[in-house]
Parts: sequence; structure tokens; C-alpha cells
Amino acid sequence: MSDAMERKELLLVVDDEAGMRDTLIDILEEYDWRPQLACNGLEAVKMVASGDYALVLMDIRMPIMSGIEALARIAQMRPQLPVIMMSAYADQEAMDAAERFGARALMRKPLDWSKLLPLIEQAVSDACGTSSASS
Amino acid sequence: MPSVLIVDDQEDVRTFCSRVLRRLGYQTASVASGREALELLDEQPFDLLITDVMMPEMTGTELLERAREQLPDLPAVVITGYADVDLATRAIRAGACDFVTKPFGIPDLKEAIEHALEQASLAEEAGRLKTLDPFLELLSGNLAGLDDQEWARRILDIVLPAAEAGCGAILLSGGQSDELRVLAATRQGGGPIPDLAPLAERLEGLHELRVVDAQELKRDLPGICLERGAVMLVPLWAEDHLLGGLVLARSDGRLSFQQGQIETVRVLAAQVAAYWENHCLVRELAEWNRDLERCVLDRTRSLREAQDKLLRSERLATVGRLGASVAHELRNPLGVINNSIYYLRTKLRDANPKITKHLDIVEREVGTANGIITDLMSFVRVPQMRLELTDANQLLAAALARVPAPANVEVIPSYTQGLPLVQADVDKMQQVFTNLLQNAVQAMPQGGVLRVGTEMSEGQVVFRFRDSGVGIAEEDMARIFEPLFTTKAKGIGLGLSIVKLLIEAQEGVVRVSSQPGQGACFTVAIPAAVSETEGVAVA
Repeated sequence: MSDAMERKELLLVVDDEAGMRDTLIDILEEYDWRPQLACNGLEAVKMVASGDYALVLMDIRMPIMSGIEALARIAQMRPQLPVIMMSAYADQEAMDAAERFGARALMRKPLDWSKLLPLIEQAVSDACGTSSASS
Repeated sequence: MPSVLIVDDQEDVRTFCSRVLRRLGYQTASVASGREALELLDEQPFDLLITDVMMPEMTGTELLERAREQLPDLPAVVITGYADVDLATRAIRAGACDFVTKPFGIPDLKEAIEHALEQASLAEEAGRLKTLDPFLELLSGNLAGLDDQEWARRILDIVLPAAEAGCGAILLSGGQSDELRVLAATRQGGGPIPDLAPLAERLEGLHELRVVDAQELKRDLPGICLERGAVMLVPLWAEDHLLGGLVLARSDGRLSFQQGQIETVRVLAAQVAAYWENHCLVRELAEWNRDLERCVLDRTRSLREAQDKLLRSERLATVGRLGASVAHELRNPLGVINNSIYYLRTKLRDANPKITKHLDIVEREVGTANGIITDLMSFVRVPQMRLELTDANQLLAAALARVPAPANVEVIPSYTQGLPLVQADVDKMQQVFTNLLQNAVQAMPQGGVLRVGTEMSEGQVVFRFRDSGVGIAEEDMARIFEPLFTTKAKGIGLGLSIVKLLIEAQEGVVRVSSQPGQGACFTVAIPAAVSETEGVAVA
């Protein structure tokens, strides 16, 4: 934690609520991740296209482009990139859509950090394993 | 054809009379003395008595007097010697209708007989009308207050003497069944009444009034216990269907009824039949009326229920829409607060215990607020179930672990082992049990005992939650599962309605029983899962 060189991979955090973005960033940094921010789905898709992220943590309901649409595009662009969706309405429709487009998980808000942190950890290490195996 | 009994001690007079009367179309019998005449009268009915006045042993007048004791309506003609006016007068006083004086010719005899028979028929008519009097009074009078049995008894009271029958019964159908049953049976002068019910069978095959010998009936229907004598069977018809019948039995040993009695009974029977049919129709009408009223009431009630249901679902939809927007507005800030708490916790691991305590408080309250939102969102739409085969005991145990009871509430679980698995939505069941547990705890503000358990009942797995709390007032029982109904100062009244909503979406049933002041018992019954191979899947 103390050594900056020891910090972990880049994460993309996508949420239209500033409060949510701010708190997510602080917690993730606290656990040594390097989070970057996007405010809607379109921004997220653009950033994934140009950046090298280990994982995307994305809200579903957002203006301009919804999380589900962004998820579909990201899945096309980077099929190996793990995406964890978040929603205040964890209804069946959202769950089905997230599952259909290959989301790693769907987390309900308020977030249960005791589950989310290990989930991120696991997803990133799984993805690294696959990508190193494939390359 | 009328039958005439001729009594004269002179054979030539008897022969003459017999010959003349037969020629005129009468049936005749003749005897030589008053004693023989009385014996014969006892055995068979006659329409007319012709007797000589001057006879040895018993005079004609004496015969007349004694015969009239038994047969008061028997018309008589007396034969007297020439100009014996005194004797003739005495005979008339004794009841003779007319007299002929010796020597007499055919026209004299014919005229006297016809006169006597006519008088007798007039008297009989008058008598019959007199018999009908109380009867008509009974039928037209105030019968509304009488029950059927009493009414039938009164009819028998009139019919029995009119027919000189010792006992009798009225059998009628109507009411629930078409079967004939004895409505009333009476016996003149008291004494045991024979069971006349088996005669229903006889009446059913009968189209006309019939007089039969009691002996014959006894032979055919061993159950019948009748004294020797004639029995009159009178079917009561209403146009095309049999209503019932009258049974009149002589108990004086006579094997027949007089024609007049038969006529009287026929008239009475027609009246009884008409009255009874009318009575049944009125009753049927009243029943229809009642049915109609009931029907209208039923319809009104179901209409009101439908309206209530509509109102409730309207209210629910409002709650649901409100819930959705509240959830949208509140879940995100709650999520942010939650994140901040989490961040602060990671930063303040070794902080002052008071700070940790307050972080706990904020976190708990966020959880409570989020729970309310979850409840509200349950009404947004029909709950979608993710059913899976689950162990009932584990479901309950998980809920108990999740909802810690306050210190003053003792929780006593009792799990039945070997229960079949249930098809249930695990998350929804947790929500249900959480609500029921919280509800029970809130019902025991002073503390108490909460018994929870599982069991099998009628093919269903049952979860039981019995508290020792304040109980539920009777007037609240019907509304306890209604959304927005609450007796508590706190809460919006969704907990139990969500329980009902979620359990019914899993084909289950939730029930409550309670006595105010003695706690309440909620049961949730879920169908046991049926496995493809063994019928019931066992955990």
C-alpha cells in the first residue's frame, strides 16, 4: 500500500452520480486499485477503446448511453474484459440483460463491499490468467 | 241401483213387494222378523227399509227405532193396516218417511218408495253440506299459523267422523322430497294408531278412490296392522301428478262404506288436494323469492368485493409507482452514504470506539431505509420468482441467523426432520421470514417467547411463528394482510402484505390465528416439491 509502484491495475468506474463516483474512487484507491472515471456509457465505451483496463465497474441507468448498451459494445470490443454491473433496481430484466451480455456480476446498490472487493480481485486475476494463457 | 230391505211376517206381502220392486229396478232382500232385519242391516248396507208395523216379537216401529240407532239416515216406509192412523203416526215419529196402507197397489208402493228415497237423498245432501261446513271453514280460514301436521290433523278430525272411520292418515309429498310421507294419523276415541306409511305404495298406483278389505291389505303389505273392516284409499291428484292420499279405515268390522260417505270423502279429498297444491305452490314461490333475494345479495357482495379489490389494486399500483420513484431517488444517495461509511471505516480502524459506534448507527439506519425501499418495490409489479429446490429447515435457520432477536425475546426453534424439499425462491423466503420475525418481535415490546418451527401438514411444508405478544384484535384480523394497514405507530403497513404477496406467488398460503392478549400465530404453507422418481423429494 505504501509503495506506489506496487499499485494494482487500472479500473474503469462508470456512474452518472458524482457522489457515487467520488466514494467509489476513494475506496478503490484505498485498496490499491487505480480507478479512472466515466460519467455515462458512451464515455466508458470510448475509454475502453483507447485505454488498457483490467476491469469495468458500471451502473446500469445512465443518460446518453445506458450501462447495458455500453456493456454490449464493450463485450464486442474486448470480450475478455470483465465487467461488473451495478444497479439500484436489481430487477429481473436488468439481471437477464447483464447476464446476456456477459457481465461478470450484477451488484445491488447500496453496495456490499465485503462481496464486491473479493469479486473484483477474482475477476481481474481470472482475466490476467486467460489473457496470459492466450497470448 | 238402490237396495231395499223388505220386512213382513206375511210371506205373500214379502213376495209381492219383492216382485214389484225388482220390476221397478231395485235390488231387494226380504226377511220375516225385526230380529232378522237387524242382523242383515248389520252385515250389508241398504238404501231403504220397508217394514210391516204389526209383527209378532218386534213391531215395525220398534225395528225402525232400533235400526235408526245404528243407521240414523236410513230412510224407511211402513206398511199399516187400513185406517190404523195411530200406528202410522208413531212410525213417522220414529223416522219413517212415508207409509202405505193395506191393501195397497203398485202405484201406492212406488210413490211411497220414491218419496222416501227422495227425502233421504235431500237429507243426505243437507248432511253432507253440513259436514263440509267446518271443513270449508278450515280451508278458507286462518291456516297460515298452522304447521302442516296440525293442519292435517284438523282435516282428519273432520273426515274421520264424516266417513265413520275409526282411524285414518293423510300422506303427502312436498317439501324436500317427492316421496309420500304420513303428515298426520289419528284414531277416533284415542288408542294406538296403526302405521299407515306402507300404504303410500298402494296410493301411488291409484287413480280413483277405492274401498278395499283390510285383510287384503294385510296380505299384500305385512307391515300393516289393521283391524278387520273396510279401508278407503283416496288418492289426491293435482291435474297430472299425485300429491298424496287419504287413508280411512273402519274399525267396526264393516266391510264397506255408505255411498254417501264415499261421496262426502270424494268432495273433501278434492278440496284437500286443491288446498295442498296451492299451499305447495305458495311455499315454492316463497322459496324462489328467498333464492332470488339470496342471489341478489350474493351478487351485490361479489360486486362490492370486486370493487374493493379494484380499489386495493389501484392503491397498490399507486404504492408501486411511488415506490419505484422513491427507490430511484433514494437508493443512489443511500448507496453513496453507504460507500462513505465504508471508506471511513477503512480509515478509522483504530479510532475512538464512539466514532465506530456512530458509524455502526449510520450503517444500520441506511440498511433500515433500504429495507423500506425494498418493501415498496415489491409492489411495483408481480414478483418474479426464482424457484429452486430448497431445504425448509435451512431456510428458516438462515432467517433466524439474519434477524437477531432482542435480549428480552427468547426464540425457541423446533425443526421437524425428514421434511420434503420445497420449490421456493430463497431470497423471497428470506424477505418473508424477516418480515414475520420482525413483526413477532414488534408484537412483544415487553419481551416474550417466540416459537418457530417447521412441520408437514396435508402435503405442505409449514413454517410456524408463534409469539406471546399482544395478539390481534378481532376487527383487525380481516385486514391484517392488506397493504398500508397497520396498527403500529411506526411503519407503513407493508410487511405482512408483502408476506402474502410473495407466498401466494409461490403457490403457498399464509394464515394467522390470534386471541387478543395471548399472542398470534402465523403459518406459511408451501407445497412440497414432487420429485420425478419418488413422488416427494426428501431433504
